[in-house]
Amino acid sequence: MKYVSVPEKREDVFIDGNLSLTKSVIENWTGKSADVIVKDLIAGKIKGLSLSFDGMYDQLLVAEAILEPLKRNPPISNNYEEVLKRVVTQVDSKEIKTINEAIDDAMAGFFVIFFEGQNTALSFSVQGFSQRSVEEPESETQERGSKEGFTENFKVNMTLIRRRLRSPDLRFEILTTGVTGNNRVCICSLNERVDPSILEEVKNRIENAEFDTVLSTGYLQPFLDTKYPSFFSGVGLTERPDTLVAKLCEGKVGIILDGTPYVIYVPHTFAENLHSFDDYAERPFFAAFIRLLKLTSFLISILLPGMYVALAIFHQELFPGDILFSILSQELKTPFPVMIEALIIHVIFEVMREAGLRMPKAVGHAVSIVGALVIGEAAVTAGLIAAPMLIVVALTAISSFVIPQIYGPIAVLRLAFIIIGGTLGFYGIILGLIALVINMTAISPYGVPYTEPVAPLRLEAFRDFIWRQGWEKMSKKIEVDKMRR
Amino acid sequence: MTRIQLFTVMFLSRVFITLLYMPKSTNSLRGGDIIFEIILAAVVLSVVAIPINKYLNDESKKGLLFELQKKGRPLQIVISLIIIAGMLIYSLLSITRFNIFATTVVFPASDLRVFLLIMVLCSFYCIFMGLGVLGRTAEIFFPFIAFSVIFVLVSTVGRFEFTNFTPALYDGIKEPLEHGLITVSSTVELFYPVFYKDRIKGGTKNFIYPWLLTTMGFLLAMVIWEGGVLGDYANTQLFPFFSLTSLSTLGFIERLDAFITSSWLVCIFIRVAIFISISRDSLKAVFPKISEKNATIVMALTVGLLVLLMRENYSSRLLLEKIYLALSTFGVIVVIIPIITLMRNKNEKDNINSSNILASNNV
Repeated sequence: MKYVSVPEKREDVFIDGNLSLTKSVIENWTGKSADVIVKDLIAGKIKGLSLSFDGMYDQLLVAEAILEPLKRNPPISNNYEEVLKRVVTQVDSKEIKTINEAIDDAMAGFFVIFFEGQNTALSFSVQGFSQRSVEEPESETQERGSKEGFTENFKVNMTLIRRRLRSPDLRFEILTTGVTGNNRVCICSLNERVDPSILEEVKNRIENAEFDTVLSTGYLQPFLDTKYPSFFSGVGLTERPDTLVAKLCEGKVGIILDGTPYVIYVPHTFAENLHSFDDYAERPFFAAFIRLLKLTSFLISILLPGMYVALAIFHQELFPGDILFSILSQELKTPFPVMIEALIIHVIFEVMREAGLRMPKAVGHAVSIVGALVIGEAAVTAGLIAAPMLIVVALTAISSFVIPQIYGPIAVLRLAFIIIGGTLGFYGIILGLIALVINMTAISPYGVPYTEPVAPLRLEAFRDFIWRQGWEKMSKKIEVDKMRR
Repeated sequence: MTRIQLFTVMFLSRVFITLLYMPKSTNSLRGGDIIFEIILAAVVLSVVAIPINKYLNDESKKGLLFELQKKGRPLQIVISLIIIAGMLIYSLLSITRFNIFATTVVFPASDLRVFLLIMVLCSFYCIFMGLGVLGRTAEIFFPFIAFSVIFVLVSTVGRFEFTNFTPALYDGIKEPLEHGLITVSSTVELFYPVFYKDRIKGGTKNFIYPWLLTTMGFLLAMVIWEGGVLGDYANTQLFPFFSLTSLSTLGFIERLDAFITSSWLVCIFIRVAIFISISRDSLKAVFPKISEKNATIVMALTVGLLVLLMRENYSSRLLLEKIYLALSTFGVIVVIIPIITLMRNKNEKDNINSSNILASNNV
C-alpha cells in the first residue's frame, strides 16, 4: 500500500523514499517510545534515516562496520546498492520493502537505513543485547554429557545445534507467532530423517495457533500436543542441545522459541522419559539398570501410597505377621483413618515442595528443614502420623523426583490412587490402572503411539528401550516413519 | 488393531473364563475328567473354526458387516440385531461370573454393582477412544496376566501330585461332555477376527489355529495344574483356580491371592469392552444415521443396565449353568453366522459364474 499520510494501523506500508513521512510513520506507530532511535544520516551523496532500538544492537559493531565505512568511503551516488556492494560489506544485510518489516527487524536488534528517493531500505544484522551466556542446564544435569545448555537467544541455540550436527540436511525454519509479541519460533529438523508430513503438520499448527504473545514453550505445547485430554504429553522438552540433536537424528522435529532455554520436540513417547543422555555414555548393563530403576520409581511414585492404604484397610492378610503387627501398632495410635492420613501428609509434602521451589534458595533449605524435622518428626512423636506412613511418603517423594519430566502427572495420580485404594482396595487400584493405561495408549502424537515400542509391539525398537544395545549394534538409525502404525 | 493385539485381546478375553471357571453345582467330575473336558473342547473348537479359518484366509473378504451389506440390507439388519443380542447375553454371563467371584471371594456378601459399573465405564472409555486403544491396552497387560498365572503354577509346583489324577471318564462321559460343551460355548473369541477382519493390520491369514493352539495349550496347563495340585478337591471348589492361587506364596509373604486375582479384573474389562465394541458397530449397521459416539453410549448404558438388573448370587449361578443359553448363543454367533456369509458368497459366485457362461454363450 502506498501512502500520502500516516496510516493509523500497522499494515504493509511500502517504503517510497519520502524520509520525513517515513519518520512520521515510525514515530506514530511506536508512539515515540523512549528506546526508539530514529536519526538522520548523511554520508557523501547519501541522505538517509537510521532506525534502531536502544540496547538491542551492538553499538561498537555499528560504529566500526557501518558508520565508519560510510564516513571513510562515502558513496558516490544516492543508491542503496552501492552501499551494499562497495561500502558496508562486513555485516550481513538484507533488503526490505515495507516499513512494517523495518520496525520488526529493528525490534529484533537490526540496524535499518532508509534512503531518500529509494523504495528499498537496508537492514544490517548487528544484534548485540545483553544475554545469559551458555551455561550448564540446571534441570537436566548429566555426568558425562556436554556442559552446555540452551540459552534464551534462539540464534545461539541454533549454533549450539549446528555445531553438533554439521550436516547440510539440518534445516532451520523461522516462523513468527503472536499478534502483539511477534515472537520468533524456529523449527529444526534433519531433512533426510524427518517425516515430511509431521514437519508440515507442526508448521500448520504453529501458524494456525492464535496467540497474543508467546513467552514460553508451554504456550505452544497444547497446540502441538495430542487432541485427547490426557495426563501425559506427546511433546518432549529438553534444555540440552545434545539431547535435541539425538532427537533430530531419530527424525523428530525440534521447536525453539526465542526467549526461552527450553526447547520442545515432537513426537515424544513415554519410553523417552526413562532415557537420559548419560545412558549412551555408560556401559549398556548399567544403562539398563538405571532405566529399570526409573520405571520402578515411576510405578512406586504413583502406586505405593495407594497400595499401602489398600493393604492396610482391605487386604491385611497380605502382610507377613510381624510387619502387620508393627504397622497396626503404629496406625492404631493415630487419630485419622489411613486414607485421610495419607492424603494429609501428601498434601503437606506438596505444599513444602512448592514453597521450597518458589522461595529463594537459602529460604528454600529452611523450608525443607522445617518440613522434615517439625512436621515429619514432630507429627510422628505426637502420634498424629504413623511412622510407616511417613516412610512410604518419603520413599514415594524421592521416587517421584527420578523422572522430573512427568512430576505433574505423578503428583496428581498419586493422590487419585490413594483415594481409589482407600475406597475400593486392590481391585479399585487395578481399575484405576486400567483407566490410566487407556489414557496413555490413547495418545498417538503425529501417528506415533505414546506407549510404543511396548504397545504396539515393535521388537526392533527394544534394542533401546530398557536394555540398550552396545554402539556396535545400535548404529542403525531409527526413523520416525518406521514407528508409525 | 494389529495382529498381535488381536491375539492378546482374544487370549485375555478367553483366559478370564478359565480363571473364574465354576464347576456345575451338581457335578461329580474327577481330576482326569477336567483334562478330558479341555481336550474335547479343543477338538470341537478346531472343527468349529474350519469355516472361520476359511473366511479369514479369503483375502477378498472384508469385515462381517461389510460382507453382510453386500448380501442385502434386510439380512444385514437381522444378523446385526442377533449379534447385539448375543453380545449382550455374553456380557451378562461374563459380568455375572465376575460378580459371583467378587461377592463370594473378594468382598463377601457385598453389593458390588457400583464397582462393576465403574468397570463398565472403563470399558466404555476404552472403546470410546478406539479399537486400537483396546488393542494397545491388552498388549500392555498381557505379560502381567500371563506372568501372574505362570507364577501361580510355578509357586505351587511343590504340591503337584501325579497321584491326584484319577482316570478320565471313570463315572461316565455325560458330565465331562457337558462341561466340555460349556467350555466350547465360552469361546466366543473365535468371532472377533471375523467381525473385525478388515480392521486388523497385518491381516488375519493363518491366524485362528495358532491362536486356538496357544490358548487351549495354556488352558490345558492350567487345568492339569488344578488337577495335579487340588485333585478331586478342585471340583468341590466354587472357583478352583482361585483355590490354587490361595496356595501360592512368595518367600515370607504367604497370601498373594488378592494381589493376583485383582489383575484378573483386566480380563473381564477386555471382554466387556470388546462386547461393547462389537455391539456398537452392529448397532451402527442397523441405524446408519446414529453417530459412533452415541452408539457407544447406548451400548455401554445397556450393559450398565444389565449390571443393575443382576440378581443375587444363587440365581446368577443357575443362569451360568444353563448350558443351552450359552451354547445356542455360541452356535448362532460363532458357527451359523460365518457359515451363512460363506454360503451366500458361494451362491453369489455360482450366480456370477453362470451369468458369465450365459453371457459367453450369447456371444
